[in-house]
Amino acid sequence: MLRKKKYRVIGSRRIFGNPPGKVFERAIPKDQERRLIDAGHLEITRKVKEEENGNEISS
Amino acid sequence: MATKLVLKNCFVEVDGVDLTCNVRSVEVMLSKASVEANTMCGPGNQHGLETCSFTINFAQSFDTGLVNDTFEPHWVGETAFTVTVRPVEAEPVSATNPEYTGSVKLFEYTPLTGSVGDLVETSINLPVEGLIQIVKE
Repeated sequence: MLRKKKYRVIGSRRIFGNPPGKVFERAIPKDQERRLIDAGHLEITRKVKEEENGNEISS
Repeated sequence: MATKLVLKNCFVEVDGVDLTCNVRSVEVMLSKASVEANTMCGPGNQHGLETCSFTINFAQSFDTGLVNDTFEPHWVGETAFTVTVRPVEAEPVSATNPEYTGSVKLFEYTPLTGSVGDLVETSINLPVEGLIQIVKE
């Protein structure tokens, strides 16, 4: 099952209707996530990255 | 008085990426096969399988994250992706601004064509896998 993650639009185009710079939450399939990150459209927000790495999150 | 729509800012999203500013023209084609169903009581036709498609003409760009970057991975990986089109980008989806969404596959791609001095355009036909969704709210 897909889990929602927080992403930030870092490219110049809107992604899933979100303008550049916006942080949004969405469940994106893994291969699509990889394409959007590789193409420079999205980054996973730091908090999610830390969770994935198993690090403790400070609020 | 009935309004007449002039396309000025159609919304086109491919695999989650807004490619509107590279779109030169767009066509959403809805089609169902006509199946002959003649009987002893007379001729007739029934609706058959739905075969819808999007045909989009893009001003090509090889810049990071734009047209070629969006389509090439699907050409190489033979993967399905989503296309969404609505007549007016700036207005929300509604009965008067319906959104057409479908899962498509790329079977033919011409990344580069043209003559000297031409704008490089690529026309992409995208047959819809299954049914096209028409969203009105």
